[in-house]
Amino acid sequence: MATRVVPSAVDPATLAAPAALAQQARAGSTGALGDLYRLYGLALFRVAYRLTGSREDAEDVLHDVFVGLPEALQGYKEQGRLDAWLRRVTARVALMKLRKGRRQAALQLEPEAEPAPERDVEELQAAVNALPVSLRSVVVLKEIEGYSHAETAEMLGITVVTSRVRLMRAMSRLRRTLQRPGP
Amino acid sequence: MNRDDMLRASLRQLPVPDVSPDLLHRIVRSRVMGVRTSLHGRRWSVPWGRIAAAAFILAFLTGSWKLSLTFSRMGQSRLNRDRVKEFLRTTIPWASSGDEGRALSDKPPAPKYPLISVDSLDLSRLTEGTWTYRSSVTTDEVLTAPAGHSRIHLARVTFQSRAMWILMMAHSRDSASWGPYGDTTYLDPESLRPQRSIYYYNKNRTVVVQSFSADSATESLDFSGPIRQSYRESIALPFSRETFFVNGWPLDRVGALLPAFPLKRGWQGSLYQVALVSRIGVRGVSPMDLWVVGRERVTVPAGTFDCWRLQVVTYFGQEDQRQTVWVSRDKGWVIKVQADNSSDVMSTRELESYEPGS
Repeated sequence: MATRVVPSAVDPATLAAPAALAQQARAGSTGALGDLYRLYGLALFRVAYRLTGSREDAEDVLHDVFVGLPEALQGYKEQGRLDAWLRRVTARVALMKLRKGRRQAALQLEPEAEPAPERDVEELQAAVNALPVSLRSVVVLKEIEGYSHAETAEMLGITVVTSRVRLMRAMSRLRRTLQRPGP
Repeated sequence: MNRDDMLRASLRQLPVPDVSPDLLHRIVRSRVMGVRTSLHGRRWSVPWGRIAAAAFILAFLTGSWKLSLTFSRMGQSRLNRDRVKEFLRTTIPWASSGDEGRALSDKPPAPKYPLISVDSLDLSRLTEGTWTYRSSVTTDEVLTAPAGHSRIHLARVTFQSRAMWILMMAHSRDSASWGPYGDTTYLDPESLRPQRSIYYYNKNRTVVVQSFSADSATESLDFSGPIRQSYRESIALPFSRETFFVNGWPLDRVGALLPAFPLKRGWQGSLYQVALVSRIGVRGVSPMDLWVVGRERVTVPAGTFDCWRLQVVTYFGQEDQRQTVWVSRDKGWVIKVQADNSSDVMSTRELESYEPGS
């Protein structure tokens, strides 16, 4: 019977230090990989979900990230925070998934996203999901995930100016959509 | 907190669904089964904009190179060079042909009337000023269409430390936009014989330069651009130093100098026009005959004038061109010119305004 694990359902204090976990995971320790999942899985899932707009895609992204993590850690230089590095990796994988075009046309608010969202939240989520991927990526990375324009631009492969312009357009669209009277 | 800040705050609070409880199990199972994913995939976007710009520049450079090569070959090929010459000869009116014009050594045809002597000119009647004319073309005596404007400027100047008259001409499609004077002739102040003349055509790609001494004339014609051609001729003037003559396009120049002519009822006179390489059919020296045929009152945009009516015949090789010129009796200005270009087309030029010189 499979063990059911919810990320961040454990006390981080009970886990080894992130650097040690990364070292063990790099060496092939499945236990360390599980601990990293418990430690960072939920935050990474949020990034993936907000970028893909789909729980299923977000889980696919998280799956791919952790399946490839031991090998990816070979290139991790431990110069920055591990969680920041993981978030960048997750965002990159999510964007790659988006670019492949899978499920892009079907980005709808999924019923399981929130059991009973308030109407304003539902409208905002729908408005975000209705943005083109190019604009939504910038909104998620800059405004929600808190990356700088330089980091956002680097992850998206665009210039800083383009990042700023896209954010401005995205925010403008969101404002217009939310101001529009509902049906 | 403004609206954007509120929107940002709302965005950060957007809910995220729960992760499937068995996701870690799926991850571990994939690892155990040997599934591996690469997380270092770098995005390779196709820089279409840069590719398009590079393609455009390449196409432009290739096109320019091919075009220059084509022109170069046109100039190098004997056959094509002849074609180019033929093209210039048939389409550009000032490209002369030795076949059509008279040989330079030929004796010029005899004028119909006594040659106008420089001594007969009344230089005191010449005035500085700018005359603006409007042209029109009438087809089948019914359809009249505007054919641009021309401006003639006459003034006293100092050229090469000598006092001279300068005669300049410019043309315009509409009277609103005038280009620079592209046709300049310096005239001897005592005889009104041309001393030096420069005129530009074809967007300054074609330059004609004429130089005159008391006994000789030299003319060069240069086509610049991809097909460079140059012509140059010199002759000894076959008439005396006391004979008045004009260079190049005769009527415009004669018209500006008509105030000095001793016009009266029954007056007749002839003069020579000199164009060596720049006129079809006028290769060397050709006569021009003028005679007064009557008096008329003529109304043009510049006003109503009491005029002498002149008949002018200009000889171009085997052909002649007939024009009627109305000249104001008191001032000697050309008021109106009517040229019978063909049986169906009549071109007319009328004085539109006059501005006295400063």
